[in-house]
Amino acid sequence: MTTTQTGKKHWTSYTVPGIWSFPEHQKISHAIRVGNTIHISGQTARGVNGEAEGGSDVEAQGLAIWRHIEAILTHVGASMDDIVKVFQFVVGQENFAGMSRARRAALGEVKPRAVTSIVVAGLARPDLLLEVDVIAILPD
Amino acid sequence: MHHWKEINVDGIFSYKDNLKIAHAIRAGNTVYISGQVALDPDGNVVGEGDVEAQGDYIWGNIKKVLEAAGASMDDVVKGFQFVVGQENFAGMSRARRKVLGEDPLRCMTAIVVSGLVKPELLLEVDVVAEIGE
Repeated sequence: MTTTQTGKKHWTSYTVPGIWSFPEHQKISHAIRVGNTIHISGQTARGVNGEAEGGSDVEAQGLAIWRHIEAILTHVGASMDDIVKVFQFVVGQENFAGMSRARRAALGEVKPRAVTSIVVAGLARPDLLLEVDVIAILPD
Repeated sequence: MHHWKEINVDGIFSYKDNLKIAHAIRAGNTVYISGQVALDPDGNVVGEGDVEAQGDYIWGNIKKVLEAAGASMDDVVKGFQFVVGQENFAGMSRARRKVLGEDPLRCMTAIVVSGLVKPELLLEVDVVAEIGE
């Protein structure tokens, strides 16, 4: 179920069980760890059945997304504390506030991170309102 | 002498002269590239109206940029794809799979945007590559 693939030699690609993943032919992983740096694929609220968790509520979608991100980071040996950078792509400017509430709920109010947020025209499916991508750096 | 190196490749559309934008920067073993679009060296759109053709051209240029930086497609760990029009998602993915369609799996973030630098452009792709020791 878990596929952990070694890259060329210096990086490792992870697919994490229990989280929606792209069909096999798309060749997209959940995360890649190279040295102490972890890259992930942009996460949406799609549950394992492919449907958006949280319905049409951006904050609920956001909370689902952050759960997915936490599961991915945990799987590769990192934690939410290791997140240094966040990219948020939201559909509809009216969803900005809900997006931010979800992020603060997940990352807390205390430790600031570098965050870039933009309003986009759409995501992979029309029912998805938010995509979140992070970079995490593990301690030495 | 910077601790990072600017990479510019002949035969690829460049903003270098007027906007001070490099094709790529190599810092240590990490390579960041500027988002690539389907413009030929003279600034003409390649594959107008065909996102997959634009994607093929873009990935060809990404390969050249990575090679100039001492990297290869094998070193790509993360991609960002910005596509105009949700209907172009599938064509965008087909172009990517022609070059990154084998194991190991890579990280990819893809979003639909309202526009790019020219209205005829349907896709912009950006990657991060990590070169082995």
